[in-house]
Amino acid sequence: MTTTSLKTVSPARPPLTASWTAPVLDAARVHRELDRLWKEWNEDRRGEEDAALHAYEGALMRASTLNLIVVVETLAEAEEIELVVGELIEFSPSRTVILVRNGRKAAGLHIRVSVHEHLQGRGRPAIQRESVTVAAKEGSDHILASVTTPLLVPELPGFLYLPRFLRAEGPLLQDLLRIADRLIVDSATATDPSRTLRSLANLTQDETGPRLSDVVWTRLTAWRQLIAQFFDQGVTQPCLEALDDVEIVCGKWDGDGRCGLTAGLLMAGWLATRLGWRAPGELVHAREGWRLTLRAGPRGRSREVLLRLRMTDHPPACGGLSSVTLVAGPECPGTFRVERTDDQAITTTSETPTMPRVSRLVYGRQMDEPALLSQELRNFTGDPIYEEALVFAADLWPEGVMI
Amino acid sequence: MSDVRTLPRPTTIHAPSPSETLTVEMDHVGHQFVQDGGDLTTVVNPLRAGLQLDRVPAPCVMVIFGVSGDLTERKLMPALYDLAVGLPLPEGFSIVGVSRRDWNDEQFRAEMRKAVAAHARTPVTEESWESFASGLFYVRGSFDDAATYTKLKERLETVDRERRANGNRLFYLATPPSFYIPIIENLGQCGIASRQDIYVDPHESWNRIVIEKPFGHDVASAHALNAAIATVFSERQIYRIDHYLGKETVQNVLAFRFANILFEPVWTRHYVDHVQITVAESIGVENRAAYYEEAGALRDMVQSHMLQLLAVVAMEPPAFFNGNAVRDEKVKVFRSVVPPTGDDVAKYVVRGQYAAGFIDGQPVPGYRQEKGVSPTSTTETFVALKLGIDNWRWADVPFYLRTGKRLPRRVTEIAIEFQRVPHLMFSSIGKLDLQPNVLTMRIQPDEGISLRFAAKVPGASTRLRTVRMDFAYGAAFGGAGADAYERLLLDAMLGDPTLFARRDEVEAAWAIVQPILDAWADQPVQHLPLYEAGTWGPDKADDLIERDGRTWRRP
Repeated sequence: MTTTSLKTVSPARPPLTASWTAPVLDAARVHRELDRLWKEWNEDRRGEEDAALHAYEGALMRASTLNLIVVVETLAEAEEIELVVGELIEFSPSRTVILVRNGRKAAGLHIRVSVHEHLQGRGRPAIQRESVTVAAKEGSDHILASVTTPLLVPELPGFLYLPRFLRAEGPLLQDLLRIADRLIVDSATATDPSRTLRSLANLTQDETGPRLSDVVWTRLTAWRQLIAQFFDQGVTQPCLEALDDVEIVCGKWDGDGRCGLTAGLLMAGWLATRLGWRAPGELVHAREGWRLTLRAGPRGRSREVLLRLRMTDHPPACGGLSSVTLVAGPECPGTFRVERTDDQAITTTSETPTMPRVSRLVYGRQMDEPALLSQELRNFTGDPIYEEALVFAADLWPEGVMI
Repeated sequence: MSDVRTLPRPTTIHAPSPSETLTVEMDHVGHQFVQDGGDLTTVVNPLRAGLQLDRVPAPCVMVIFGVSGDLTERKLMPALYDLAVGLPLPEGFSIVGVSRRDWNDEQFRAEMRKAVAAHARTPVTEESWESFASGLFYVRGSFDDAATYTKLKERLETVDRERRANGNRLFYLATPPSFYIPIIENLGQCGIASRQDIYVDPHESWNRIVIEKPFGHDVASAHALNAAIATVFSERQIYRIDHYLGKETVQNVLAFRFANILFEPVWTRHYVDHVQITVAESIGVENRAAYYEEAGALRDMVQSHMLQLLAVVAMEPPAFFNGNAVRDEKVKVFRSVVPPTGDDVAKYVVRGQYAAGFIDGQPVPGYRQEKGVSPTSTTETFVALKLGIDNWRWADVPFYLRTGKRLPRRVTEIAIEFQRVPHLMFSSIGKLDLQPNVLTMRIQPDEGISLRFAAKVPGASTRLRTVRMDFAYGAAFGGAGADAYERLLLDAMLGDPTLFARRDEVEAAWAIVQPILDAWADQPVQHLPLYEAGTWGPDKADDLIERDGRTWRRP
């Protein structure tokens, strides 16, 4: 999962940084240091006789967009997040607050502030942003939660990103959920799908909490789009009512620690909730993966839909989906298939007895972390379609079965 | 008041949504929209729920007339390729190109591949090209020959069968305007296109036509062209494209004005001193001499792009962001504009022609020395004019418009200059060189919004200075938005006319420039005022604004 679509920004200059260690956080000092670094930055630019800056007559306004709060375990992960944020283009956060749960051996806090500027290419303005990293000793979650609010830019929405959802559970998450407007998780990192999806489904029930999104769902957008397109045409729409066999093939673990199983479950949840299918129970293990017979249509006149889910170690699919095949039965026969053929492309094929086979290839790049996060930061409202699919998916996987 | 109808959901579709009916609204000229903003053709597919914002049109065939031309090569085909491989276009989307060039399907595909490779945003790979090219077909023929349309009809029927386009057609006239009427008449006579005044059935196939500007060359020809198109297509099928309206930053003017409460109270004659709209090009006539000699800056820029910019700045808030609500307001603005007439034209309109000079340090020839331009040409390459808008909001607020070729830099901007404060208490501390507040919306390049205001210079003494607060669109959001053609082509396929010009809008815009054309025709000149390439136009343009006690901005 290494392909990226967000490689068009590059740092204009190395960031300016300051760091110190203190027993407690002094938010005023953080802001003073950031102001000092920006002043230094601009003075350096004047020194370089930057013509663009001289065009300004005195006031330079950095457009403020959002706060991004990220919880990581180690300083190394914090560095990785800095790189990810540096590659965001759309809705680049004005300030990123990185909380490191296991970043020190001693008591107290290590604080690092930095200012960054990224070039977007010729003729386009540079993106400026700031980062504040707070590292604490393991077991200091209550301290990290309390230092977050004073570090945020006032009046901007707060996006809480948990790249490793499970490891951030507990009091820190509960505290951060109170100050975040939106929670972004990556359920592909879950080793216990049932527990993860159920706890996420519970979060969606809290009307007052932040709206939830899962980068796995964002990865499915192209797949949903392509599957929906099969049935936009009048001649194929009746096939939706005749679907009786669905096979979802998910990729196994990739090198970044992501598995495609939750993607497969969410795909099943999406199809089922959109098409009104009902699940009488959980998926059961079979010779070639997992299967469950769903019921479709109104009670009394319902029909069966066989849902099959299996895993593959086909490399382009690892961490995501490999293929989805929908087969419609005798009432309106047809076969509709979406398949990842490589890192860059997805192929669709459809065929019915009355229509010729049509196949096409579209760009369906495996979105890497910056691309996914960039997509997530565009959205501020919840997605009820996702929430419905999530609730359905959470009940599909047998409790306690780890992957 | 809109006519609200309910559309029964097709019985063959199981509908898991709470509602068993779709509510379809229809405005007064027959455009329909689904209440939740979805598209009629997709909302009946339950898998589309939540995906409507991604705006995927129904499968269709786009028929491009003039497919061997520059527009297809540089803009249309790259935009279509980017759309097709980037997901928004559906499976089965196909393109049939029509031109006189002696090509077959394979040669057509090879030519289009070159165009796409040179101009598309998305890289071309063997696989992606094969997939896109499988939907490309070619019909050779003259636009005024009925046999061309017989071949075209047969080809479209085959494509429909093989590619499942359902009979949906988007005709695109990328030809010289002289072919518009023959093409439209032949499309009607051969039964390829038909009039669709109204529809409610999303399963019914549609046909629409996209027409490139110029929409006529004066009021009479615009009327005649519109009447000819209307013999085959209803207004709701016609999409007059002005790519300026597809630009993100033009649309952002609407967002800036109508999604913020802050600016509306001062957006009136009570606070605005005047408005300046500048569309400056540093390029010359290039390879468009034949067209430009006939058109000139007034027709080429003012009648279309500049009046559209004026409209989005001056119009009242529409009730909805949909096709006719927005366009109704623009038409009202155009009808309130008071164009200069008769002798006033010489007073309020300045034209000029560029002479040799320097652009970016390079010597450039004068207009009359350009290839394809008459050495005695009196075509204007620069126009500056002053317009008034007679309505409650804008009475007595002058709108100064200026456009030209071979100006010092390429820039398009709208500047709202506000009145000075009624009493400046700081005048007691000495002479102040304070400028009035100016809100500038930069359309291109360096898209953004800036506000000029006064601030105190830090220090023990009270000194004031004018500063500029700058919002750079790209620094906030980053990334390049969709190309204007991508946006507009997708809109046309989706049946969204909001960013296209309506018949009355086009005719009202022509009515503004017609008195100027008449006055110039009545008083032909041997020589236009010349301006050196690389300057901001003739001196008379400065006189036009300076006699009102104002000056042109230097963007």
